[in-house]
Formats: sequence, C-alpha cells, structure tokens
Amino acid sequence: MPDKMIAEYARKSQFVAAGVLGSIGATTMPIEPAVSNAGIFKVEEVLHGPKELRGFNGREITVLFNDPASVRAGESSVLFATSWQYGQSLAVLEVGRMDDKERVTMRKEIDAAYEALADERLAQRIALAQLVIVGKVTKTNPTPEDIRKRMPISEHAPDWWEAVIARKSVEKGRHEGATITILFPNSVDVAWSQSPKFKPGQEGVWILQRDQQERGWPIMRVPGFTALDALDFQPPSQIAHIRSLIKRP
Amino acid sequence: MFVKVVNMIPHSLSGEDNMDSEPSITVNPANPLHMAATAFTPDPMSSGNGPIYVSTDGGNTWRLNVVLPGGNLTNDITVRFGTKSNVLYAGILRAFTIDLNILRKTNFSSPGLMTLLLNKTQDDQPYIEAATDHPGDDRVYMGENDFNHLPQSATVDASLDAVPPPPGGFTSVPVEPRATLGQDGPSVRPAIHHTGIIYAAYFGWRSFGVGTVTSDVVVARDDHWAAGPIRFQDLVDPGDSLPGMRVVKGVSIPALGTLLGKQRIGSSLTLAVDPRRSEVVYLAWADGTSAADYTIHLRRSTDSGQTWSADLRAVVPATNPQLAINEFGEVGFFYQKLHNPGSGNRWQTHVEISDNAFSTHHDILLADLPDDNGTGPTLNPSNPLGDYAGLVAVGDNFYGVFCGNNTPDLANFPHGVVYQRNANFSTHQLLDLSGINPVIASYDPFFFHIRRHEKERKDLGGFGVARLEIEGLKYEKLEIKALKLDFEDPRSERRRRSHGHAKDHHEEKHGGVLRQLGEEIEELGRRLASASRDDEDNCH
Repeated sequence: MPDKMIAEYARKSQFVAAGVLGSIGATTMPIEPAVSNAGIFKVEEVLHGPKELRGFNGREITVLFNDPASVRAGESSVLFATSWQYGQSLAVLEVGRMDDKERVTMRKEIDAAYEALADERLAQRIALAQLVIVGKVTKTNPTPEDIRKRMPISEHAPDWWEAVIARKSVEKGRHEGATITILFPNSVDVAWSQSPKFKPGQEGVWILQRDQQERGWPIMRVPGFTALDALDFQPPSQIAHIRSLIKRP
Repeated sequence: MFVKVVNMIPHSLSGEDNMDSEPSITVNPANPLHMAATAFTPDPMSSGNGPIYVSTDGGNTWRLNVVLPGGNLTNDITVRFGTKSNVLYAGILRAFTIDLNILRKTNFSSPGLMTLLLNKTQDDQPYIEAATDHPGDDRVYMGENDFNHLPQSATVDASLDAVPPPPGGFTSVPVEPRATLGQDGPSVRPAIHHTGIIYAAYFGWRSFGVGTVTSDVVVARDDHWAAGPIRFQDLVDPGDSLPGMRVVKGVSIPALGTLLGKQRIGSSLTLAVDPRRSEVVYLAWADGTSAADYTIHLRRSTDSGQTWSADLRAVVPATNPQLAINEFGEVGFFYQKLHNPGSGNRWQTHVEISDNAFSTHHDILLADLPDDNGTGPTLNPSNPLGDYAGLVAVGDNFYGVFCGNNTPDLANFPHGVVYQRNANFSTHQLLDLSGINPVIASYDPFFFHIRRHEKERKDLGGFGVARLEIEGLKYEKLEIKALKLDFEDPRSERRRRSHGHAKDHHEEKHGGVLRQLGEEIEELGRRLASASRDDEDNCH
C-alpha cells in the first residue's frame, strides 16, 4: 500500500524527481512573462517520468512553486510535478513536495503509487465493459458497405473493420457462442491511432463495450462490441491480473 | 533574401521520436517576436493536456507550453492571434470525442489552459482566422466542414467579439448554397481583410467519380464582417445566381486518403487577400485524377472574386498549398512537391514570392527531405506532412511552418537549418539529451522566416517605415539597450511619388518616422500592460 500523501500527489503528477531546492527567482530557461514563484530544482534522480526526461538526472530544472516562501535553498526534496514548458531546459508546475527520506523506500512507495493508479485506470475500463473475454483473432475484414457508406467522408473516418475472435474464456458478462465478432477502427489517422488494431493470430484479453458512446462523433458510431481505448486490449500475460481486478470489490 | 529555418523540437526533448505532423503557425501582428505554432506533438508527460509551440524571440527558439485541454495531443488544430489584442485563438478537434473547440488565451506563453469559447460535435478541420476591429473586439472566423449541416456542410463559424462564456458570440453560417454529393470537402478557408470583408473558399463536392470526387472550387464573400442577418452572400455567381463564385466547375479530385508518396491527399485549398486592396485575392487548390497528376493551381482575382485569372502557377505533383500577402503586396506561395532524383521519393518544400502577380517570382527551396517516416512509432503513417502547413505574413516578412523528416543533414536544407535538439550533422544522427545515445529519425516541425534584405527592399523603390526594435526587454522594468530606425515604406503612394525630390523626401520621411515611432511606443505600452494582466488565464 503506497503512502497516502504519495498516492495523492501521484494522481496529479507525471514527473517525480529527487533533488535539491535552489533559489527562488532564478530559472533555467527564459520564462516570459516572468513569474515570481519560479525557482530552480537540481534533479539528482528522476523517480518517475517519461523516457524523454530521464536525461534530466544531474541537471537543473525550473519549478513553478505553489508556496515559494516554503522553499529553502539547499534542502533535499522529492518533487511531484506536472507539465508546463519544454524548452532549452524543463519547467514544471509543482504538485507537491516531500522530504527526501530514505530513497530506496521512497522509490518503492512511488512505484507502488503509480502501479495502483495504473490498476485503477484498468479497473475503470473493466467496469465500463459489458464483456471481458480471452481469445484469439481468427479473421478480420472490412465491415459491409452499408455500414461504411453511412459514415461522412472525413480524414477522421474510423474505417470500421470486423475481427472474429475464437473465445477461450469469458471473464466478465455473458457470451454463449464459440466466437464473437467485434468492431475496430482500422484507420491510422491521429483520431484513431491509439485504438488497438487486430490481426489474425493475435491472442489476448478484450475489454469490450457494447454500443460505445465515448469515442468519435455520434455519426461515426456503430452498434456492436468495441475495444477502443489503448487499455481495452491486454496481452495474455495479463489474464491473471485482470481476473484479480474483476474480483476486486 | 534572408531565409532562416529552425527545427522546432526543443533541446529538452532531444530524445523524442514522435511523428510531429500537420503544423500551423501564427505571428502576433502587435508583437512579431511572439509566435505560436502547433503540430501533432503530444505532451511528453501525458498530463491529459496538450502543448503548443511558443516563441518570444521571433522564432529563433521554441518551447512547448502545455495549454490545450482535451487530451495529451489534439487532432486537427490551427491558431491565430488577434491583430491588435495579443490574444491567441485556437480551433481544435479534441482527442477521443473529436469534438471541435474554439479556445482563447490572453497570454499565450503563460501557464494555464486556454479558455473554451465553443464546443461542437461532428465538425471537421477547424481553420481559424482572427482580426481586431477598431473598438478593440476580436472578430474570429473559423472555416470547418460541419456535418450538422449535411448535405451542405461547408461552414464558417463567426464571432464579432470572441469572449467567454461559451458560445463566445459564435454563429454557425453555412456557406454552401448548391446541391452536393452529400457533403462538401474538408477544407474551408476564411480570409479577413481589415476593412471587414471576409472571404471563404471551399470545395463544393458535386458527385463521385472512380476513385475521385467531382468538385467546384468556390469563393464566397461577406462585405460587413459577417455581421448582418444574411451572411456570405455578397459575391454572386452569374452562372446560377447563387452566392459563391465557382472559380472552377467540375474538376476531379483524388478521393480523400489517396497517397502521394506516403502523404494522403484530397483536400488542398488556401486563400489570401491583399492587405492593401481588399479586391485583390489569391486562391490555390489542388486537383487531378490521381496522385501522379495532383496539381496545385494558383489564381488571382482583382475584382473581389468576381472574375479570376488563368493559372498563374501550376505545380505537379504537390500538396499543402499555403498563401500569404505581405504589406507590400508581395505574395508568398508555399507548397510541398514530391520528386524522385533516382534515390527514392523526396519532399521539396518551396516558397515562391512574387511582387508582380507571378509574371516572375523568387523560388526559395527551404528543404529537400526524404519521404521516409523512419522506424519509430508511426502515429500518422499516412499523414506525415499533415493535411496542411502554415504561412503567414506580418509587415514585410513571411513566416511559416512545415513538417518533414528530421535527419540532420545540411544537404537537405539549401538555406541552412538550426536544430535546437541534439544532432550530429557529420554523422547525420540525432542524439538524446545526453548527446551520446542515438535517436531514430522521425518527423519534426520546421519554422521558417523569409524577408528581403535591406538592399532588395530599397530596390523596390520604397521608403518610410519606422521600426522600433528592442533588445533586452524585461517586464519589471523596460530597458532599451539599442534603438534602430528603418525609414522605408512603399505603402504610401504619396511618399513613393515624392521619391527623387530630396527636400520633400527629407521632410516627409522624418515626419513619418516620428508618427510611426509614436505609434510603436504606444503599442509597446499596450503590450506591456497586457502582459502584466492575467485576469483571464487560469494561472498557477
């Protein structure tokens, strides 16, 4: 169980770094218009963040602090932050700050907080789903013309295809047949690029919504089962984990 | 000719390998050092909000500012500053829902999300323009393909005072009066003249062909800011007495999604009005029966869109035409042309500039880049360049943005290039933030700035602008370390006629300088006051 404060900060932060507070008023990149509550933070170790920013270990960044009066130059801290500016250097918005206690323990707690968040997001997708199945794609093909022609002509048209999945197990909901046909957007346009695409032979866990109402314009939606979020298809290695999430109260 | 090209990916993101395609750009006419640009660039932290590119030094350096609501990256997005207000406007398609939003932000480089002015669903390809009128209200026009108005979907959303709360004064104005095949083409492009004349160009899709659509290219016009009860009906086609002049009728356009090289095509359209003369309009579009003959046509009207020239330029095969006209009446014509010198397809990015309606023109080749998406994550494998690029004119300058393969090779950039991200131009290798580890090639946005040299401008026969350039600007205290005056301005016919009369010229010149200088200082004061206010943005 992650520390409660860490969990709260992690929910709003995408960048966590251990380091040393610098002086208020200085910045590591031009900030225009100037802001009075910006200051410098020397990163010793990025504890959580995207791979592009791992290179900031050992570098100074700019932080927009919530309470600049609380900043003591030279103090070691763990900074929880979210996006602001990416330039010659990095500038972030402070979400919260904690004392840099024993680093190994802290790192474990931070990792645990982000794992819990990831589980929570996956559990939310499962909660929205009417059907969760384990299976293997046997066939894919474009949907019939009458469905495709209903769509407006747009660069963002989803290009709905069907995937036939041979069912191995049903983990949530009810499905009687040996196969199930689902729909997926074959479009690689930016609007649909993050939705999973399927190919024959693909195995895994499908987290399926019936007649979804959350993605795309209403005129683009079609009745049927879909898995449109990047989390809605999971590899076979996640079966046990997904089962445990389904059982969670 | 001064030409500068800058790779816009910031140094701090040297390790990124996204397909940062489909760019747009705006330059603040009230302070041309301030610029905003966009591309399909995600927030690296996945904060749930998206970034814009900002520059406060005239495009020499760029950074990302995470200000866009609605996902880590948007779908389509275009941006414009009000001409005098310093306010930034954006038309976006949000992630996931693909809802269209019109947004505004008083201080584009400060923290805090842009403010929502309008939310619509089932509405494609927002293309925004803005102008500040005399009382100081920002008039905002957004061309869009609105599927709520099927089958006549070409639409302009117009607001005479674009301020919160939603709907921000916006009214949806369908501009297509004719029968369509069920909808119009995606591209609807407005252009504003400061006297209140608004043009809008669109593809009136009429019927399906084999792998093509048959389309008219139509220009509509409103002479009163689109403020009256009857809007965009001031230009009537005598052929059918309907509003909107059909510049060409029944041309074939390759079906949306047809590939030219690796880039999808099928809706390439742009329009610009001469800031000195509202009746002078340039239009460019692409048509053809296939990718191989996808041809950009450039035409001109000198009577407010009533009649049009034959092709001034025809470029094939090419896409992403963009037009802008500067204060001298010089026309910038941007396009990206596919060619194959024998070593594989390449994209040449050109800007042609003409001061004589393309009897002659300067052709500036900005980049000649491989049509190669790289081996990394391919967010937009069929849209690496984007469905549009960006070109704007402020003063006598042209500014723009295009996307292309980011392999660091000076041979690809005839006028040179500056990379902010780490790159080794000897080994043609991108490097991560450490400067050691290689990064795979992908697509980046490139900014460019084109301006005639002083001598070239003198050769045009003009004189008279005072330009105040300030170095070392701090908001706590204004410091002017250098003051440079430039006396040239061919805008004034009277001054031009006095050329050669030394005494008259001298007196006229200095009177003009003082007036202009006073205006510049007054404008600077307004900018500083505006910068110190942040009453609207949701600042941290």
